[in-house]
Amino acid sequence: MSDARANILRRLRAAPAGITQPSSDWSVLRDRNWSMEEQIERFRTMAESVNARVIDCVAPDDASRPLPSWDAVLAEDCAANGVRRLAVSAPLAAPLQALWTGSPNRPDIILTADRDTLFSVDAGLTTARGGIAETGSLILWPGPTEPRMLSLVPPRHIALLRTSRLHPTLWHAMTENGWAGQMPTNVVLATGPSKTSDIEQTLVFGVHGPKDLLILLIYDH
Amino acid sequence: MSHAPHQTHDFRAGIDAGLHDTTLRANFRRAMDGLMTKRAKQFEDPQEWTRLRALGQEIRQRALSKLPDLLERLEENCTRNGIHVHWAEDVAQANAIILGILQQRGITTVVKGKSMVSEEMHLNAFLGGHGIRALEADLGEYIIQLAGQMPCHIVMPAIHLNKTQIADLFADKLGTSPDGQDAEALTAIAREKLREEFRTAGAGISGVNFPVAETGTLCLIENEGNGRMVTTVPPVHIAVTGIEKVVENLEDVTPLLRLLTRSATGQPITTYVNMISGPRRGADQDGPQEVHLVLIDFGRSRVYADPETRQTLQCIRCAACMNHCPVYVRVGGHAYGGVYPGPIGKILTPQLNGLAEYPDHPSASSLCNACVEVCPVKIPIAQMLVRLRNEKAGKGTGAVQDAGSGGSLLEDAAWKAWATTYSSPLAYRVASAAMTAVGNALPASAPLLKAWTSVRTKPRFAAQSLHRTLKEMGVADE
Ligand code: SF4
Repeated sequence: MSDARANILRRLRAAPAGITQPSSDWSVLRDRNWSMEEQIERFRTMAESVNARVIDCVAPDDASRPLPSWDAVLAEDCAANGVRRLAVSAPLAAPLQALWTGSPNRPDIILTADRDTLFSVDAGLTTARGGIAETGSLILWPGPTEPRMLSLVPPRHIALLRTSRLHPTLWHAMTENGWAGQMPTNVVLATGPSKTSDIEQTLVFGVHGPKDLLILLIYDH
Repeated sequence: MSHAPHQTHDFRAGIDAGLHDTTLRANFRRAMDGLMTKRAKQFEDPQEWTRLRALGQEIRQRALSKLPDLLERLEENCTRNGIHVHWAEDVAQANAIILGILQQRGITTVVKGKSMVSEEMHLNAFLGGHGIRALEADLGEYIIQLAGQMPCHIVMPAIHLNKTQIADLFADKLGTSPDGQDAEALTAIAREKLREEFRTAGAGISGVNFPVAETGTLCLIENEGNGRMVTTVPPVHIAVTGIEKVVENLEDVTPLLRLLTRSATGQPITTYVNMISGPRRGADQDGPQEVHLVLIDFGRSRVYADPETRQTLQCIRCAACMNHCPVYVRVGGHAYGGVYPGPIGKILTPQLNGLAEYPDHPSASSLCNACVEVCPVKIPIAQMLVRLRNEKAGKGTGAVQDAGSGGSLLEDAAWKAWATTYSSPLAYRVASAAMTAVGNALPASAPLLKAWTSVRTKPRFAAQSLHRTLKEMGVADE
């Protein structure tokens, strides 16, 4: 097929020059000067507007704010929604095991990348690399410690997001953290649970991806 | 780049069918009104709209101005990431590439994410002919695949069907109950059917919204999760995309993404933005073992060859132009034939497939400019329609395939007569006096008038011209 390549490139190179655009004004993206409080509120409003649930919490050892510990919120939510088998991101398995040991009625913690197991669990717990205030999006960065399927295949997705990792826009997240120089094999922005409006434009949540998204927003800024 | 001789697409028959289907018209009207309202809410700040849109247009034009270089860079970076890059000039080559990949690995079932390019390839039918089952996984595409139809809209493929029609279709094809099924229940049926397919399919096939040259990344956007499923679960992922889609830098994706989702469905962002930069690598726990990218031309390099028509290739496939088109909303997507309906279809389809096959596309427009006003990358669609009309009549540069195929001697003669009349004051006076005398005497059922007056009232000519009346009133006309 190298002929096709050569032919296509030759035709394109033979074309006369057209409109050129040497540079652009990016200020429409750059000028988002939200305070941390504004970013949190914006994130919450946007995420909730597409049916994500956002619950404020803190790390288990943080007594500086009058908020529940994320593992307690997680346990309660699993109990309320009948989650018995919880697949988790590798770095969260050991801490969660330690926090939950001895407590009754905790879901089973499953550490696996096995496809068929992930298709059968009740929920997947992942970390989030960051959040985007403008759109209420999670930045998911799967890789060696977190299978791509963990946030996709189980019917419920629960994600831990730290307030210190919020960015005003995708553009800020991308440029300030130098994504272009270190793209992993997969980055996903997830905004709310999966949805469709393909039938009569009626909005339905829960198509092929999760039907519920719970964001445990850990205050650490 | 040989093209098999094609039949001329009968747009008029399609228009007739569309106009007389009242269910279809109601379904479209409701859907387009909804989409227009939602989009308008997203662009309430005219300042932001203007600046964002300028940025979007510049990014697309900049990418096109460096297209061959960016394609080479994309190939280089994808290859470095472990993505196999293939090139195809025409449909046959592209289909053969995909078939080869599947056959070599003994794959017999593939799941598909939404891809308009794969519709250009008639990929499902082609694979089916070789014993490979290709299953559409986007809900709308799944529905129309069951119905054996083509998409009627590039973002909402099944918007021409209402839930009763879909419930009947599912009952017929899947054996579910036709009664009392609402959108939620119908969605649940499709979810159940497709989940097992995702788990066991040998390969996933998807389109690409933004291929990024700088990083060798394929960006896909979607709401349902089917796009992530087909690119994540099966061991092989094959992406197909037009050569024109490439953007230069990763940051270019952000304004285009913002423009695309807001213009398409009035969402600030889709549920998922999936950025794929390779198969599983190193210690990755899952993801496909192989990723392929098929870059297709299918006539795009010809569109590229002319700097004016090149602007057609700026399109990011948001569908806003069709949502706002007074013709599209009345005749529906299927009337257009081809893969791309609405205003973008009117300029793209004849350029890709030839003016001989789609002769009526450039004229099926009142040039009202509604599409131009909403296009997020500022494609001068109306200007392009006029250009195509000229090309068809043999009055362009001949850049477009089948240029000159639609000239009419009668039309030429009529315009010539018109020009002569209007450039001579005497001829003009004689002609308008004759029009007044003869025009009112002609019955509405006269042969040449009949078709025109069947849907309009015949105008009455005034006894004398405005020019004359004013003169009599003493108004000077210098
Ligand atoms: S021509 Fe413009 S409005 Fe139409 S689909 Fe393409 S980008 Fe959208």
